[in-house]
Amino acid sequence: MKRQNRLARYFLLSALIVATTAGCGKSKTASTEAATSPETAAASDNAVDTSAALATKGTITLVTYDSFALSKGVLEQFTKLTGIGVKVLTAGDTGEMVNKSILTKDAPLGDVMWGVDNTFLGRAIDEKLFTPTTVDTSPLDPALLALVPGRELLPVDYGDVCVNYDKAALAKLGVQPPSTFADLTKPEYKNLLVVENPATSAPGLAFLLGSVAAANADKPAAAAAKNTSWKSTWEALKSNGALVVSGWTEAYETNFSAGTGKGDRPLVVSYASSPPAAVLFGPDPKATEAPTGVAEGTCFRSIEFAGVLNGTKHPTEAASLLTFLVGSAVQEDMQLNMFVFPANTAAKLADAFVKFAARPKSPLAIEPGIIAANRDRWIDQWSKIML
Amino acid sequence: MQRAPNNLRWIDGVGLALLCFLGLFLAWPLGRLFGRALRWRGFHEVITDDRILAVAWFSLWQALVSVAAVLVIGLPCAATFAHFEFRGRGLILAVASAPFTLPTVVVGSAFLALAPDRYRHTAGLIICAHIFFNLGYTMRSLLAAWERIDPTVQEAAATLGAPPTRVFMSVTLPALRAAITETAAVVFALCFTSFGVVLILGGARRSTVDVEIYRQALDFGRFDRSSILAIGQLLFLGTVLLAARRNAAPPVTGAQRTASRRVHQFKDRVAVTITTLLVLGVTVSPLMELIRRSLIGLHGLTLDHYRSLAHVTRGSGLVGTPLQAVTVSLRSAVIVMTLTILLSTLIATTLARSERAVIQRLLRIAVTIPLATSPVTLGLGVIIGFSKAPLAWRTSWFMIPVVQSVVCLPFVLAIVVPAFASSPARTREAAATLGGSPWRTWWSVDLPTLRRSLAVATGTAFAVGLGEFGAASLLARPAGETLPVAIARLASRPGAALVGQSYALAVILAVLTGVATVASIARAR
Repeated sequence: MKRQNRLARYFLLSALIVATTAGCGKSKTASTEAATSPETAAASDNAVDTSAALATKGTITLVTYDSFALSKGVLEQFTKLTGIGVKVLTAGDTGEMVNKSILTKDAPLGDVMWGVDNTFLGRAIDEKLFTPTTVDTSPLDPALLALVPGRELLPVDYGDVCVNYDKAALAKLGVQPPSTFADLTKPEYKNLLVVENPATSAPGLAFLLGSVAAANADKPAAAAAKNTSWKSTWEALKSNGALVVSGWTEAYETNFSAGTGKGDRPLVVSYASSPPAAVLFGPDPKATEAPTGVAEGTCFRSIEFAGVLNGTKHPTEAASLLTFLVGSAVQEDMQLNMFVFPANTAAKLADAFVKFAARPKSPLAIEPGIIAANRDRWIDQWSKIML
Repeated sequence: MQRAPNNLRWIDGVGLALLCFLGLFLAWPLGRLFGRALRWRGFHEVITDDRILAVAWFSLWQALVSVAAVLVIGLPCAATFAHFEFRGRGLILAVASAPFTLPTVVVGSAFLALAPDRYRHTAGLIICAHIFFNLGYTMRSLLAAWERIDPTVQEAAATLGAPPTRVFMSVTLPALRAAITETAAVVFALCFTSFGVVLILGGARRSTVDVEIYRQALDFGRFDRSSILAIGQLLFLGTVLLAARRNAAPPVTGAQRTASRRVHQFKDRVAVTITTLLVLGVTVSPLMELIRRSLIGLHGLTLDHYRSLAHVTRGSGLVGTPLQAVTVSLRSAVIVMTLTILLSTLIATTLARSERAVIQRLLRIAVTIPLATSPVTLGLGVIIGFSKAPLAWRTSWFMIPVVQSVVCLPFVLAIVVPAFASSPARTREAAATLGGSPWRTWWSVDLPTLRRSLAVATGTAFAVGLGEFGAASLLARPAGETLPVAIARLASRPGAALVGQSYALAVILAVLTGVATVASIARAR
């Protein structure tokens, strides 16, 4: 009898839990319409959903990658200004986000998307994921804007992927920091470099594209697709002991000598904005010099875009949000949150960027259309050499 | 064909309802994905591709070796746990169970840091990680089966003069065969579809079919090739799992083991000591490495990483504080647990009581699918399948818990179904004869038999709900990360402080998992 009572209690408890969570869920769906899910609004002081109280004209969804970050209050500012609530939906890394959106074209994940980069730009445009916008583009860098003549998307930020070096470790070895792809194949850098697999890592892919661009530096863009001399760079890198790992975290935090893991490789493929991060998050946030440096000749420019998703039910509100995203409030705030440079030329650069970030004069680049057409093949060819 | 007796009709209704539920949340999304993406022309191209063949071969052999290794260690350890009651027994079981739900991102890095340079990116290291992940699960399933063996049969054999090895070979082992086959098949499927571990420990050189499914779909956008691989994997693993179940001997019915023996003799103590050392050796060193990393700051030992969990760190990429992820995960785990226990109880009842072969067979196939499919495939299917009215549930609060609970059904059923099959038929018949309604009979005869297994299953479901990463990370979700997602995100941000936080969170997840296991085992006693 006792056992049965206990069972009865057990089931009653389960039923209660189901009932309460179901109740919770209902109230949540109801208020999602208004703006936000209650737990994030109530409990978090950095909620990306803007508060329900502020939204008067409904809520739209901003789809973005996992590492999207803005300071508290920035999107709330938009809601205060316009009465439009914003819900942020993260959808994996850039590739995941774009490919998921291709799958869900008939019922888009949201209204605005942030974070399509130049390696996926061609595909996103070909698949007609975005609808051309009439948002004012005058504050945006014309060089970046030129990549989207149809204005399906607008550039929002950029950053360079380059080889970073550990200043102390190189000094100890008695070698000068490298600066170009050709340098990296020299014997003094034998077994010093760690790179990411371009098939599984965004910086890895950018670095591969950088090597392609470097091999074509003196040739017209259209020839890049056919030229295969970049392969010999990689053959040389391989015989010079370059280590391939799956992702940035492993490369930087496990293998790189200036990362937390104190690895044994003083050269790593990372970002031009990694040195400011190394200072801000490092042992001495007030340091006057960064512990790491950047090989500027290896920098490939990664540019990110935002746009209004095709099929949105709120085109006007979506356009307002896009205007806000390219405006200076977001463009200034995102810098130390995401370690990227603003596409808006009027936005003020963060101090840490001015002091510590590398800003290569003429980074390597390849047209998005050529990247879209050759990406998979290049990755395959790279795998045959390196793996 | 004999018609089912009238009083069993209600169970067929339950069976049909379950099939509808599984059809909606399993068959529908997978069908939608395959229907949308599949181009049969590509089939030949995929199965003759050298690299894909190499990937398939690697998936196969490393899974076989992993299973063999896990069984060689797990079987004797489970024997010790089944026979002896000793101090720290529950704790050791809990420690061994903790890895099962730890996010692979974190464990992968811990293994990588632990391994000497020349073992990095070797198949050996992957297999070690698979042992680490699956030993606890294997021991618990075997232990559950062991505890169902009627001790009087063993005692009778011993009394009649059979030496212990003989008792083991002719009484214990045959009784365990079903559980061993089933566990081996499940672990095989888990290792075959291993994703995160292979991604990190395999380096760029080694990948499994599951990794390839992900890469083709989400890196290259080749949904056609990805679907072909997913279907291949589904058919292969489905066949293996169903074959394992078919060959499984019916479980021995009878009394449940009352209590394990205390350690008396010297050789008992030796067995217990060796088991303890073995289990702790396999599981503790990577866990210690996690703890060590969570305590190391820029200036040596510190609790800073733990303290900072309550605050929003700039650039963390998280919506709230890392500690809020704990709340989100705990709530989600409770939902997953409740739903899974409800589903598995109903499924186990149907499998044991329904006399309609069609329902039985379909249900068995349906609950095998989650193990044979990759979370990536299921996640993509859900994204397509639940995006339009009347099924526009893609971002509903219940979508992730429902998918997670479907994903963990096979594990929970592996614990519950055998126990259910051993519920005393005679008592039930007596109850029915005396006029008890089917519902009443179920409530007062069947359910009590299940209590112990249900308690263990509850712990497993809770732990899976807490630690599930694949489906949770793929499904479009409103803000508010679960623990594993927060851990993965923190680990991939620049800066020592955030990576330290990810280790601290991982330790918290491991502790929560361990506590859930201890609690459920304690309930089962």
